[in-house]
Amino acid sequence: MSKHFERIALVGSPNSGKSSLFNRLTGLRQKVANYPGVTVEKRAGTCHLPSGRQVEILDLPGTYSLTPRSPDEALVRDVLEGRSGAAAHADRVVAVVDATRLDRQLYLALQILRTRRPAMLVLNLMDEAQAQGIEIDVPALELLLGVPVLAVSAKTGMGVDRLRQTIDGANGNGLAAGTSNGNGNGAGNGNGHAVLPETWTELDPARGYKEVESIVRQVVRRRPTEKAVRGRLDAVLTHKILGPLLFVILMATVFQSIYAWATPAMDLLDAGVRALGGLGRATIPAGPIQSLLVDGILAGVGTVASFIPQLAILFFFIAVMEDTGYMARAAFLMDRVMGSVGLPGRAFLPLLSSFACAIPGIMATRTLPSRNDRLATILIAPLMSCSARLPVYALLIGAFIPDRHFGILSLRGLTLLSMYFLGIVAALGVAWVARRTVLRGPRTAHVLEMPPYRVPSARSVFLAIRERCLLFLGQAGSVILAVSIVLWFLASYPGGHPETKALESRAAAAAAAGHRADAAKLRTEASGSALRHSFAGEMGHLIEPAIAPLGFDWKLGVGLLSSIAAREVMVSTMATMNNLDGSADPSESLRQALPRAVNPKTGLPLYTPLVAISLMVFFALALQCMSTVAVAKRETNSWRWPIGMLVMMNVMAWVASLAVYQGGRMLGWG
Amino acid sequence: MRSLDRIVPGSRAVVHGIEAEDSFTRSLLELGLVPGTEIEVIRRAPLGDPIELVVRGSHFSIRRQEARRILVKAL
Repeated sequence: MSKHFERIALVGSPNSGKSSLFNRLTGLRQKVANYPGVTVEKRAGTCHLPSGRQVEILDLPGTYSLTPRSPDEALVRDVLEGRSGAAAHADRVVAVVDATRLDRQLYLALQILRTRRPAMLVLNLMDEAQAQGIEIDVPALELLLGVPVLAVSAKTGMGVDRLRQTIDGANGNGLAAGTSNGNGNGAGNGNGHAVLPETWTELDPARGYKEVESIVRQVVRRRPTEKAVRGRLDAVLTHKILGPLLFVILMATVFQSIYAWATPAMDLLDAGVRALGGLGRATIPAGPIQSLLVDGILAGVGTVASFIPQLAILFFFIAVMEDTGYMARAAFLMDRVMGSVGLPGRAFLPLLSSFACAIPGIMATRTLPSRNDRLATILIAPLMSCSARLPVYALLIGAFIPDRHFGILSLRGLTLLSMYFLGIVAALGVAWVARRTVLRGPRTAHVLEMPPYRVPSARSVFLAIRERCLLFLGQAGSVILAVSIVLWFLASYPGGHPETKALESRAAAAAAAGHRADAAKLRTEASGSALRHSFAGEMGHLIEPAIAPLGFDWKLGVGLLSSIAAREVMVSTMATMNNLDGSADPSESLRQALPRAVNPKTGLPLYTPLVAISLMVFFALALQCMSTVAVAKRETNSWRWPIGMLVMMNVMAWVASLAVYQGGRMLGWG
Repeated sequence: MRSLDRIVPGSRAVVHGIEAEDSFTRSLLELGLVPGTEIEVIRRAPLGDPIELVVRGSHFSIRRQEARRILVKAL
């Protein structure tokens, strides 16, 4: 559909307010996708012009120059040069610069104008420039550059209507609106730039900046003076002691909020899904259709929806940190620490978020400008012990680890802590190895801008949150839903096993006779029997030879299969498998039942503390969560990375559990 | 003449040139670090790396490893 519209690309440095301008022009009519074949995000939207015409606005990635340092920047160059193989094209270009910092940002504008594309220049953040006493002679600048120049503030909306008019007028009738000097060649005809003799590749940086200096001398009236607020804020936020301290407090707040504050919203969503399920059971006749709708589709929708509160909260913090300029300071503080494992300072936040959940963590890696840094961070994010592993750890620790204390240290607490450490150590190792193998290559030089502090706009923050949540729902959500339905099918079919049927009819008989407790117990046994004789149960038997060396029986195998939906599902599945009511508080009854389970062949305990530790190690290192796989696929725009992660993490988990179980048995702990 | 990482925070310097030609050299030049540009070193991060500097009115964070290649004249 967008093919019918003329396409206009916004190009500018990071922190030029380019995205705010994009938000102003397109509002809610924007969409994010990937460019075909590259891991670069494509943000596009439609904009209505005063004449009623619509154009498509393309928000190209921020770049400091047209000489590419990353796939994002290469894409900008390709679009501007109109390369035939480029993933996108643009009919016209709007160069966006920060009016308060023309001394540097005009350099990119000069490069853009030299690509000979029909172009115009937007002096953004004009309200800030005026507040700082910077006066810019716009007509003189138009004359010097030979293109329309517009003074705009995306934040206040100043000049945005005129920008729309200029975009509108510059096409169609062939006149370049906005150039009142008669030199109106700007947008319609790119070959008339009087002062731009050579192409951008021929522009030497030294000469380019001379030209910038000369232009600034001619059109800017008062030199910008650095605002004192920046100095004062930076003195605190990047202070040797206060800086890291405030950083830790802020990160603790972010972590606490996704870990705990998202819970009420998630509980509410869960209650809503349950209520809908109850409604479904009451209105749809019992049978395969009801089961598919309630236990398959609705449960899958519930899984997908449960991520939204965490995502929204994390992206609220990220948007605020980015828009205020704090993110650059945090990266400045953390760069040395993260650098010891070959990651940039900015990787800290995605990894911290991953302790709550790898989904928002992986989605947060897009704040990393370099592809290799980003892939390395995505690779290790699932090794951070996420909150979904906690119910499994809690069950196993409660059931098998004695409640002993060494002074103030409890053995149970130490066991939990060591699971977190195991994940971190494995992550550091994987990052270290990846940096020297698959993600080798020239280390991207880190010259990062530390932008001025700015008050974030509610509009930008809202749009950023909305964008991330919609992306997750649209692309990862569909995969998660599909896998949920497959898992439901495996757990529900083929069904009709004689043992299950017998239990069901006995339950019905007990209910008819008024023995309610017996009926409930028999129904629970029937669901256990149904699961044990389902395809999932058969698959448990099928994989048993592979997991037996780790100390796991086929029932744990079924639990592992079910944890593909979400790791914590393991707990309720194990309850059902062991004829316990999985709906109320499965953990409590399981905690007592698991240590009592007996191996029917040997008569010895089925699960020992060693099996529990082996299983926890497996959970700490394995990539079971299909939501993570779906998000990694979406964020890397290929199946290569998620499949690589699946293989690597699960092999690592298998080997580690094998070492724990077999090593423990050799030491006589089994 | 000394390398940029030797400049004491709070003092100014003028860019003389960039050592060792590679693809990164051009990015440094395009950021505005062309010979003759006056820069100011603002501070170092708490662990001594990276360094914050001002180039043509914009603040940048640069690692010492990269700063070592930028030759400057202290003012």
